[in-house]
Amino acid sequence: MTSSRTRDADRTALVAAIIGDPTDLPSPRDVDLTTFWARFDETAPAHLALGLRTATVAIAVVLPRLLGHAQGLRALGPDAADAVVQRAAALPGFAVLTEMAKVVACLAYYSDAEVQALTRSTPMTPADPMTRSER
Amino acid sequence: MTRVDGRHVVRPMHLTTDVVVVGSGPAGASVAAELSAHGVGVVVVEAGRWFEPDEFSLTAFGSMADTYRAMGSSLVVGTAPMAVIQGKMVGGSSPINGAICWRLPQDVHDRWIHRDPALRHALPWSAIESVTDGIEQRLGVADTDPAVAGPKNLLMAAGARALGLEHRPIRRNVVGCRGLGRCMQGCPEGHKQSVDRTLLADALAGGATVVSSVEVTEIRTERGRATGIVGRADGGGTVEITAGRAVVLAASAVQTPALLLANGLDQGPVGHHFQGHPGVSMSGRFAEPVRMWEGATQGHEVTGLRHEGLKFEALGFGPELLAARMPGVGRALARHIDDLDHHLDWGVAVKAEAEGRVRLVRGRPVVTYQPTKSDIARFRRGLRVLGELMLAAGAESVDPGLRGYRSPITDVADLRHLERSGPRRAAAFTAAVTHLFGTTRMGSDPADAVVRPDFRHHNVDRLYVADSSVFPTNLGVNPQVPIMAIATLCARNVAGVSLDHRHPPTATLATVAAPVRRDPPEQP
Repeated sequence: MTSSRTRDADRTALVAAIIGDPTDLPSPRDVDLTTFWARFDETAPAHLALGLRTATVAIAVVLPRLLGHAQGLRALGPDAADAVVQRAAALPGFAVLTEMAKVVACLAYYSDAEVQALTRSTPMTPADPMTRSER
Repeated sequence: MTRVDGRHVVRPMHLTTDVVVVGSGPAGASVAAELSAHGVGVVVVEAGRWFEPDEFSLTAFGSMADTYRAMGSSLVVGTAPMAVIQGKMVGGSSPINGAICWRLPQDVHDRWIHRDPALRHALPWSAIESVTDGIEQRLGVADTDPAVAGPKNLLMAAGARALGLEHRPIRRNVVGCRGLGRCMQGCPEGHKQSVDRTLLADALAGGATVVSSVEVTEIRTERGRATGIVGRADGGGTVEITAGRAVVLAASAVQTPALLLANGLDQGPVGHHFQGHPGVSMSGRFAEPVRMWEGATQGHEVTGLRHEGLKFEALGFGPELLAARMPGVGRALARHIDDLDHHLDWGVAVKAEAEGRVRLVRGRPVVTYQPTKSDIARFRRGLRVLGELMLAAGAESVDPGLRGYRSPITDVADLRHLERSGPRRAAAFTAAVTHLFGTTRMGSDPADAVVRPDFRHHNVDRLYVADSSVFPTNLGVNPQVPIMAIATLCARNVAGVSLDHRHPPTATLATVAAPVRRDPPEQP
């Protein structure tokens, strides 16, 4: 894997672990975040990009190993990944990073057109502009 | 009518006009409209780009990436970093705000006069009232229609009624709103009467030029007079605008002092006295679906505790931000996401007494700001009242979102405990600061003010500031209409007309074509 693909895989795994598995919406593991990450990298200010990079390394790479896993978050199953993010949210130093990553995770997950459409399942009128595709 | 898109300006460009206005938000647009109406040539320069309604993103992320300064992630620096929300587009924050309209409260005006009696003649109440009448008419300001209010707003009304607190539908600048709940992302149907669609359109019709996607970097001065600006276009070209009459800064209470400091214009307390309205929020779960993202974005407010510096508003944002507001991560968060349509979030805006400061660090503005003990006490009181409002409206439980504080809360006694014994540290609260003021404040004493009562810089002739950075204090209410009113008075000073000038009722705001001479771009 190239370094950028590794980075995307790590932060996508972080998004999936933070969102969990909502029952009535697509699994975050099945949501394609390629476009989201490209846009994020293009527009995020330096402090935000650095914050997410730090959170990804800390929670998706370092913490799993501190907790005894041989690999990072993207190699873990759902139960183990959930345990990692629960721990991150409770650990001093990791909690603030988890909080920041959670905001990005929610923005990323809901940037998916199907997630948006299912959430807004009863448009106010048939002409609700959510039916337009995202540019 | 001329619009210049800086994304396509790849070579040096030079314009000559009477007045150049830096910033196209409520202040800049108001100045441009008023000057155009008096036949004064105007060029408005804006760092962001134009957006038409069908260009607004349909996701919160897309909107933040397109139209919010620093993707909405700018922070004040202090013991509790708080987000500072600012738009970056033609119209400033006006196309992406909650459309809330308040007139300047007279008690605030009275305090300004008490602080500096010279302002009585500079900001006459009668002129402010008259100008505000015209603005409200132009922007279609009216009470939120109950038919499009949606549950979040109607429930707030029910909660306030049950508690006996003064409340009302929010007065908004919308026409034909269908309650899509997308004000914060830009109305995709163009129903919000933001300044890009109203006052700036009037200015354009009157002959003004708007140059978008150009960041102003330099204020040109000669022999103590402002003579123009220089900016950098997103397309790579340099834009130089010579102004024969005045340079008016209207770039916000962060960017205006930053521009002055960057140009060595550090007279008086420039950058000091930064004030805002920090806000905290309470989420609540209701037995029936409430679908927070539907209905008028912000359609109801509780005003009964405004005398304490607290104003409560129904909030309206999309599911992504509501999900981020829910407690927990992983499976705990997924359970809330499954239940998201039963949750809503209301906020309290605090008329904080804290004062911060805008500084330049490596050429970029940095805001330091720290809520006082009294402000934090207001956060706690605000959360208590929000919780009581929600429980009175039928919420099963509420969550103040405080770090290290137990939740959810189901009992009024626990809310009283929160106010009495809740966190004393600002870092425990998740707060955001909106409505920024005071960093180039107006006054007659040059040691205590950056601009004179007639909006002129104390040290530099022909340099004016028109935005909320001239306000001597914060307001405690949403400021877009007061900003427009005060900026209109600034424009009347620039134009040299009476502050009490009344436009003929049959005339549009802009009726006279203003001359703008556009020099051809220089060839490299």
